[in-house]
Amino acid sequence: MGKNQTINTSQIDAATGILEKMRNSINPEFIGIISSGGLPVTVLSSSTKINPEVLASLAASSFAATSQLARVTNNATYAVMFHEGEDNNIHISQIGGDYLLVIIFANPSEIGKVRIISKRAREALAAALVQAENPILLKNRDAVVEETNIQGDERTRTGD
Amino acid sequence: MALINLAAGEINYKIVYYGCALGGKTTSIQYVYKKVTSDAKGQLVSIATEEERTLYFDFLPLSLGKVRGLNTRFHLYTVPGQPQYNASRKLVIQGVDGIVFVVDSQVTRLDQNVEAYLNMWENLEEQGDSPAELGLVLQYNKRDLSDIYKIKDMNELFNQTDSPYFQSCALTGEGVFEALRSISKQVIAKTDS
Repeated sequence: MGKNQTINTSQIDAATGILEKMRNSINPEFIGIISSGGLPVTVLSSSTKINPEVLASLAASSFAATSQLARVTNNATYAVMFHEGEDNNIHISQIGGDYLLVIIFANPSEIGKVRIISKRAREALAAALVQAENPILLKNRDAVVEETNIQGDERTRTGD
Repeated sequence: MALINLAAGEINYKIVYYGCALGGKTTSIQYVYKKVTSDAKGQLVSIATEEERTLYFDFLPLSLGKVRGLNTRFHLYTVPGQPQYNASRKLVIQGVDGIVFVVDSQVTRLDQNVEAYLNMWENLEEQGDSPAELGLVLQYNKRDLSDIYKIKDMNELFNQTDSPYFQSCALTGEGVFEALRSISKQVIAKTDS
């Protein structure tokens, strides 16, 4: 298993601050940072219909598939994805190797602005999210789930 | 690789259900979705063909309590079992913390199980993970059928890592939560290893 990816409060605050500035410029329905593994990191959304968790999973998977498509087509990478829809549009771009910036906006004519602003912001976001030098980890290796919603009794090794 | 978001007070883990086609991966995750209370589960997403065969993955986020004051979020995925979708399987296992390997216990499915097991091993190693170091649980499924292998025989074949194993019938849910609980405990314990 790879090294855990730890994000502390100051990193989130810095990244969210950048997203807020971007939101003021382009007024998106949704703007957020997700991990390349498909987990939401920080999100600003004006829509109650968009589920950040599902969006993160699908956006990251779609981006990963596109990266493989780049390999198949002998391209180094596709760092940006854009989907144009009837009601809104999705712009996804890479922030370093570990994160993606996802912007959902309504007006397709805004794409130029979205591209410019996201390109400018990506470097600042990458700097804000660089892996903490002293990641805070759980110290107890015997950690157990203290409260759980999993049903059923655990059955130890059963044979026949 | 667990994602620890201290600002949100969350630890996020990725659990992948791996195994041969029609072995019970999607059925297991659907059973979990059906039984977990609505406040603890997110939306179940399936990218499947019209025949309901998994094309890319199934995805189910779950909240399974607290560890050291941090909320745990488990993101359950399945891989497509059909051999031709290996590129998709490689994408789904990126960043995985734990695997539930679902074995179809039927005698007639031995070759497919072996192929899936070797494929899992190869794909994990290719991305720099070791199955022996990841969280791993074996879920011997379809124990309700008649023409099935003995657990002892399947362990000899598939339990090279001496991992916890469970008998299951994903359709009725028997053994599904036991396997999930076991893999959850494993990945939590490995967070700081």
